[in-house]
Amino acid sequence: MDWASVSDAEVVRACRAGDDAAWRELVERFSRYVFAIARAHRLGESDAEDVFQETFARIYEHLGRLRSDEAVRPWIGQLTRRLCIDRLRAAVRDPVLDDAEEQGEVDRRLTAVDEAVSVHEALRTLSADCREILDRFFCRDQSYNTIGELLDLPPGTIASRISRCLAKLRQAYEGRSGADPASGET
Amino acid sequence: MNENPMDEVRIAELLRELPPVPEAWLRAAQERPAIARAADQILELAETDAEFRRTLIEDLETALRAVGHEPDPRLVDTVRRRLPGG
Amino acid sequence: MPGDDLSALPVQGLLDELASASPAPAGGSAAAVVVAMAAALVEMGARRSPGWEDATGVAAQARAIRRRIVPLVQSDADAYAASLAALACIEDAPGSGRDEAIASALTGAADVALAIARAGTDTAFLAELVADRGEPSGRDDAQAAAVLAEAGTRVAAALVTANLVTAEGDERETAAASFARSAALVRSRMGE
Repeated sequence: MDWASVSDAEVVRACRAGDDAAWRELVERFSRYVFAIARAHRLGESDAEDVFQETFARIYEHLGRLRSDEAVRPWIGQLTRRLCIDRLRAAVRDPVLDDAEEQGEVDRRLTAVDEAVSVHEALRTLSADCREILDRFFCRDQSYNTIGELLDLPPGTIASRISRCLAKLRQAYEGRSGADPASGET
Repeated sequence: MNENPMDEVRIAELLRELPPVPEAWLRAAQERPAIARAADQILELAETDAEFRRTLIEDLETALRAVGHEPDPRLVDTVRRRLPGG
Repeated sequence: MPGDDLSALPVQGLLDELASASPAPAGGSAAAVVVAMAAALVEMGARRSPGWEDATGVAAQARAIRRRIVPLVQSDADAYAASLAALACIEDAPGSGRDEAIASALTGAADVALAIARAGTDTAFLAELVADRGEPSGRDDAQAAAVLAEAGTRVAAALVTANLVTAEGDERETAAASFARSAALVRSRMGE
């Protein structure tokens, strides 16, 4: 099944109906978001992993009680943030979160995460080829060599293809955010 | 060139803000329904089989093996949490 | 300043660190900086080519490569310092555990150097693209970028070899040599 076109709410409903494939999609779809929130709180790898697994354990447990399926993302975001804060408070006597400056920094990083989520949602509307090449180069930091071997293309062609796909992503993003492409306002 | 703050350079930077998680984390989280169903099975058996329930409380890992389940830490943790008094 | 991430230092500060008697940072960090500068020049060349459809996308790619490599300025210094510390243990504590620690420290330094070489090659590819398709007035800077990228790649590739001197046949050495060749080919295609 191509889950790319299935809305968050539909994935949630399928999960509630016991569809294991839907659960795998839900985890896949929100995994980066949860991870990014943990990183925004500067959790170490071990703590980030614990928060990650605990977040999805609670999602699984409480999905039936979600009030609005469309609001699953903010619900997951809140849940993850709470777990991160609990983890930080448990770790030290004077947690950095009591520092207003550090809190401000965390909030700035979380704002960037939310913006990034919108871009990734637009990415889902692109072709599989574009999604793959953009993910490999920008999210996975793969080189032209690596991508070239996988796709059997020379570096120059890959770079041009990435540019074209990026332009499509920008258009898709502008379309979703209601931005006026001419003025560039969002 | 488009100097729009949301031009391709900015879009690409935002793409980078959400890197993939380690594959092992993903697989572990995705296996949760299977773990939950296994735990359901085990706890159902514990309700009807007093001997099994005793073994489960005294030596959970052995009890799991006895009914064909490897004592995966997530399964152990889930069963332990849901055991009455556990 | 002690404890500052090298990449956060002003140019003068970074140069002072490189020039100091302390063995790290050294050639690997310098190579990373050079590749980062090359990537920045590529980004500039793309940004100054408004008539080229792919320009913004290429600028985005150059920026991404720069983001990958800047942390390696400090990572290389850290890995090199760790390998020196491990090597010093030879004098103090003979035994097989020390050999594993040294191998582990050197392999870490090799990995960082390989990442620098990889980024350098990618930057060279992009420099060629900008020279070919970007504004003609930007060709000189694109060539400068290719020269810098090749220099950084060659230094990093040599460091990979040096750090794997006891690991014959390690595929990373082959990969590093391939990166150095690719970057050199780009520069020779673009002319001196």
